Amino acid sequence: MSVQDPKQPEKFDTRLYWGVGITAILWMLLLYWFTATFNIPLGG
Amino acid sequence: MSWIDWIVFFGFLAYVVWDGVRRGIGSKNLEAYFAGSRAIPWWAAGLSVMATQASAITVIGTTGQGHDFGMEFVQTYFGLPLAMILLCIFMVPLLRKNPILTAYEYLEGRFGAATRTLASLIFLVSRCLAFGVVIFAPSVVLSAMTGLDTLSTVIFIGVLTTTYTMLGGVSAVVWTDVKQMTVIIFGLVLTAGILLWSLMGQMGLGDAIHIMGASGKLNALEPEPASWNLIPNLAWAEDAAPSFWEDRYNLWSGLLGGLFLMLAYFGCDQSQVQRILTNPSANESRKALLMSAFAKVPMQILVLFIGALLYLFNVMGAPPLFFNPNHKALAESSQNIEAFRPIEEQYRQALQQQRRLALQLAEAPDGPSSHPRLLERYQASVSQVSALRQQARARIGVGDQRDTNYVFPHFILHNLPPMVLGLLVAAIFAAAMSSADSALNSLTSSTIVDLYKRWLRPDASERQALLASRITTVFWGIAATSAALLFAGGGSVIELINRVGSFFYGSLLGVFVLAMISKRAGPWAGFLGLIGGMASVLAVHWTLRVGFLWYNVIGCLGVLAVGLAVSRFEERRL
Repeated sequence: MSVQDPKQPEKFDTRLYWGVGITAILWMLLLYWFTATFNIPLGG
Repeated sequence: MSWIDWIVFFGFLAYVVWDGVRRGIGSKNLEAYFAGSRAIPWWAAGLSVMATQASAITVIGTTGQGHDFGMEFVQTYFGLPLAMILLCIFMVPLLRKNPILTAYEYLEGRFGAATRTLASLIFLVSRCLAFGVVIFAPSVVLSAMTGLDTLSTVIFIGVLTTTYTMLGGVSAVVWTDVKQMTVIIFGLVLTAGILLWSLMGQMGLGDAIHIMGASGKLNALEPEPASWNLIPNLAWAEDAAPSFWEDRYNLWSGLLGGLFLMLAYFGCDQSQVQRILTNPSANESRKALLMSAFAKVPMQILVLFIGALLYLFNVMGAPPLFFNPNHKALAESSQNIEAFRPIEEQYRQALQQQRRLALQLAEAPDGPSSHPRLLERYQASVSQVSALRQQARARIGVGDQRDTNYVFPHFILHNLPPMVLGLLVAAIFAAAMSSADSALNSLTSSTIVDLYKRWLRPDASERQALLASRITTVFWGIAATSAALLFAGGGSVIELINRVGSFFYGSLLGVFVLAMISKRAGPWAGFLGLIGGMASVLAVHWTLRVGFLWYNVIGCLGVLAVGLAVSRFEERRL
């Protein structure tokens, strides 16, 4: 069975976590700008 | 559909099913049938994770949401990237420490057999109901397209999916998902391209965005909830002003409520956990999860933007009064037809007015905000068109049934060229099957591993267990296909499926979190905590007005509160 040996856990490149986090924040900032710039609520 | 569309449609389905069965038919034991012999590469598992979540509802229901309500639904996914990071750090090591086949096996080692079995039963009930919704949604398309009744369509999808899942196990599921996800993405990008191409003949991209914005469809991020009143209203206080907890889609409900929903779905739902149990190592499992963390938000933006583009396409075209062909047939029945003539005439005039004002807005310099009177008139025409459609639905006695889920099918059936139509219909079916097959295989794995092998036949040989697995797959295929017919009501299906999950998911998450944070918590804490979590959600559902996204938070906190309280007594006993 080719399951990893728990005694020797592999190292994971944690830069991927930072990449995910920063990308998510950039998407939210882009959507915030997009909404604030273009969206006009009905009756607003 | 023309004959060439049918060739594309059946050709794709035949290829996917044949290839899936070919890859998985050699399974000799449960390890191969439910975990692909732990040999599935991370990118295939990652695409399968995305395909499992991207059901036909994503294509039909979410584009409809974008058309009717704008892009606000994307906020539900804001919690997903953080959820994936947390799962990679805390959950993956737990699940990959031992060669388990279901998420709930872990719970037995921590809280005992009763908690494991209860968690498994909760999963089986909620997933079966959700599975029903997942295969019902695309039947909308085929029914509208061919005139076949919903029952036949549901049975077609159910039988096809059950066949290849039963023969090939999780390997068939993952490798069919890879192809299905590819076709889904291709179909969505193609649709966006066709819509933009159609609109660009009448206006520039900037003008199109301005008109969608003036129609209130670009509401992708709302940092200000409808209310900051944090005291929830009682369920029976119908006249009370809405509280913070009732505003369904805003930044805060997306970040916090969405975080708990995604943690529970990707971390505790066997249909997703099973994907990360198929990889050779924990790090491959992490990469599979992070693929969704990167790709899911832009994918949802694309899907909802297609919905907003569809809205603009309809503003510039001549959309029908009813997108749902059943509603149209009702309106055209002999006793209704005369009553509809005045509404149809008003609707036609309102559409002309809306289109004329939209073109004026497009031509106006400096954007719609610089022309408040024109903008006000345009928005009034938007409201009038919407009100007339509502009035027409009320006239035929379906006022509470929006036709949100019929907007996208109507577009593809009436506006796409041959072959492309076949491909898009295949993409919708692919989306349905890619979610249904995962649900089916995970229902089977939990039934066999957590119930059959644990309680009924612990000494069953691998061959007997494998045979039982194939029979169980057929059983769940029939059960879930039958459940699909229960959901043949109206309304927006995407919300329904989320509600079904939200009643249970938070409690499942809570019991895993309890295992992680409390070393003192034992069997009673786990079992009573799980019951306490579900009771909390039910109590809130019956007494308070709270949006369904918050149910996950309530369920999780309910488990922790009860579990931690019980654990204090457990320690004294020990």
